[in-house]
Amino acid sequence: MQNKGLEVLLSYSGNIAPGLSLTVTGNVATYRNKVTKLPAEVLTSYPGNGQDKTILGRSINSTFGYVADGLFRSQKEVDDYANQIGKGLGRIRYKDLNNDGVIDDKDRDYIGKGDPEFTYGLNVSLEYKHFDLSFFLQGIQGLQVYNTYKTYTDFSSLWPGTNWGQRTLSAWTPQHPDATIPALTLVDRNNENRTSTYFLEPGSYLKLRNLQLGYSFQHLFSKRLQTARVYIQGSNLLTFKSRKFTATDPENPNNAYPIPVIGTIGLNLSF
Amino acid sequence: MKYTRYILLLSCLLLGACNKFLDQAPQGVISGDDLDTPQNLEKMVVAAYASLGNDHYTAPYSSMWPYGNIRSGDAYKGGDGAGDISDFHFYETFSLNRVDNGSSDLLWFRLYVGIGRVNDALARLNKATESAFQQKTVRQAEMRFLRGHYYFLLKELFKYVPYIDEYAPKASYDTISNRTYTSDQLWAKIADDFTFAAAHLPDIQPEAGRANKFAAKAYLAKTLLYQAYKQDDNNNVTSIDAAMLQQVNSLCDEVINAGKYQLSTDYANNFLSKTENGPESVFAIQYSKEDGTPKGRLDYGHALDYPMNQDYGCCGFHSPSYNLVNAFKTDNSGLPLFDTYNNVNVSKESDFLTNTFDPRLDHTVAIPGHPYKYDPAFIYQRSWARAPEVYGSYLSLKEVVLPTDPSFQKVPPFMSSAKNWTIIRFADVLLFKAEALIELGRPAEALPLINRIRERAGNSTTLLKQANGSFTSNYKIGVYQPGVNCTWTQDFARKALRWERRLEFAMEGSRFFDLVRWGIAADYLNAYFAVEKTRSAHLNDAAFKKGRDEYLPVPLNQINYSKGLYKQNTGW
Repeated sequence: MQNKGLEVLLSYSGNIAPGLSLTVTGNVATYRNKVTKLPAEVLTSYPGNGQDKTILGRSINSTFGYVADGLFRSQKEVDDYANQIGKGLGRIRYKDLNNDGVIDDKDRDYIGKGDPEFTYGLNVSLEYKHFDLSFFLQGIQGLQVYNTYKTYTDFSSLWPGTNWGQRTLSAWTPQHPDATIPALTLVDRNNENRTSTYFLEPGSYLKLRNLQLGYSFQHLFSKRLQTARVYIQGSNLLTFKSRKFTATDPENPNNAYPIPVIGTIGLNLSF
Repeated sequence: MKYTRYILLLSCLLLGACNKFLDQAPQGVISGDDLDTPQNLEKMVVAAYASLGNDHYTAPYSSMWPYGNIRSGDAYKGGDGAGDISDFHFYETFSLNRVDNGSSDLLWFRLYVGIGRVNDALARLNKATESAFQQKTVRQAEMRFLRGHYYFLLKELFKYVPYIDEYAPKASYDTISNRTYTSDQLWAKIADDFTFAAAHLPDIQPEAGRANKFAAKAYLAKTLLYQAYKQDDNNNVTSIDAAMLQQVNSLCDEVINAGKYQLSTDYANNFLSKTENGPESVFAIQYSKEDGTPKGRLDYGHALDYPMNQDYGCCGFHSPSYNLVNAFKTDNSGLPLFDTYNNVNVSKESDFLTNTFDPRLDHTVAIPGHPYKYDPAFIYQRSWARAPEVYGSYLSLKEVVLPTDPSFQKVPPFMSSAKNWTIIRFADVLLFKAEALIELGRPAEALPLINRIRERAGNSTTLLKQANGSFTSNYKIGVYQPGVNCTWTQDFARKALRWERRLEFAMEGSRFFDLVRWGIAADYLNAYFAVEKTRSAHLNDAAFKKGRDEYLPVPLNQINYSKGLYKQNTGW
């Protein structure tokens, strides 16, 4: 595997007003990933069909699957469409990429770009008299993530026995033919759990990773205690993401525990 | 100049330091050769045996219930609706099955893992000398028995599979096509392994679970019986090979006449942990607990098959169909209602007292109001079923044990046991022989064999009682008496044999493969769906496509692995 990239980092430090010092560091980075070599017998374990479409020369973060082309909205659309096992009203229509009239394995391709165009960060700290304030913003931009939460939020068929997500209220019905969420069903006849662009969503985000406000006391009580600093800190306080990302956190689009918001109150004592 | 000399000297030390003392075997690592000692050869053999029971409910190749029962009209998938393991729902309905059904790929992979262990053990055994390892030939024969078993399963599931033995180098695996051999040649390869096993295995093995000579002969008979029904490219049965049937008949005779096996006095003994490895068990997978492992080597393949009541709690899979329950009904002389059994559906609790039934019903099916697994103080309730509105309220009994059974083991959220699972029982041998005789045009000789099975079934009612001592259902089973209650022609005998196999081995994983062997799967199953879907709407999509659905498709992942070398099955 090969990774090539570039990172630029700019930093400023100085007094911008009497008693007010500022340190700013900004960085932007980008990389390109490529799988260069694999033993033949493991090739099919990676995205691809192991034959004419393989991961070699592509990013390890590639997604391989079907192109979801909206829903079937009328019986005529269903009848006129290619032979797709399980097709029906309100079901996802998958693109016939090779135009052979059958939706099958040969209609899969590389559909997702899992690497961001760039990542960036901004670190700012300010000091004014006994106060100090710092924050850190971090983001990634220009990628698609595979949102597996959608198997819970959009479907009533994929996880029997679990609660259905709120989005299923907006599912396709004959009365709501413009819905984008497939019709409710208890049986996944159309194999909608298959890897497809239905689950690909913009994964860009900007997060306020850290915010800290402190106050330092000098020579409190006696000369033995040189400084005492109290601070409050919050982690992961804000997330900016695309509206098109339907789950909560594009940093964590898979079935896992959420990334927590953490609040800290601290006291530093120096003797 | 002075420095050059030092540099030269240093170079000699650094670059030329390939002394022998550095070539040490790494410690804490087992090299391939270390496994060739007699002691380790035994362990490699045991490891190959272990694969027999290394299955899981996602691909239960030990009992074959998703492949042999829920595709046969005997059972519904069960569980919490059609979406609960939808891959199995696609097996049940056929029309929704796909080449990329992940469960088929997993099944294929797991069976080849078993073959891989056998081949590894065999390659080492072949190298050993008799003088260093006296058991060499017996162990080779055991391994070939196991390999025959795995390929038999692959063959009945997928029809065409790549045949890989211990002589194929690993690097060549993806160059071996699944069409190197014809269907008939594949059967012959399987038969070769069982023939070798039968020739070299001892009559009696000192340890339970090891294959002996008679197990190999019985399995060879089974293989030849399947092979005898010749199929064309569209899976139609075109002829039946009489010479092979003769061999089936004589192999079964050898097993029967050895006197080593007999039918258990009570049918129930085949399905109880305290009577496992009994007189009827020809070959069984050995499970165990309190064996040094945390929860034991359990029957995970059946871990979904327990009811939802407090004593168990999961997961209500593997429900007998209405059609199967109806098939246990009998007429005034205790014979099956061949043509009318399914006209009226048994549904109410009282129906089991107003109709008459083959006693095997209550050994096989958990029915509301009936004792669960022979315990009159533990009455099965409709509320114990997982999704009765979808799958009805029947559950399967043969594979389960009571919560109080010593072999019972919870593996939350699943339930399991260390009860053995029999691959071939003596009843099978009797009915292999009967089937061969009938197809050879000697139905009269098959009559006593079938009647022997029915007599035993009739004598197996001791455990089928309610707390007040009354029988759970109204049992009536009779033997075939030509001229009295039937006319024993070849056609009738064939019908009786097929019925007998269905009831005797119901929910034991072989029914679908019987239907395909006989060449009647498409007609039988589509007729079944036509009626059964009016009773259970989950079958609305069901349709069997003749010339396709007799076999699972070669899994797409495997075709991709072979870079398109494997040829897909007909119709897929």
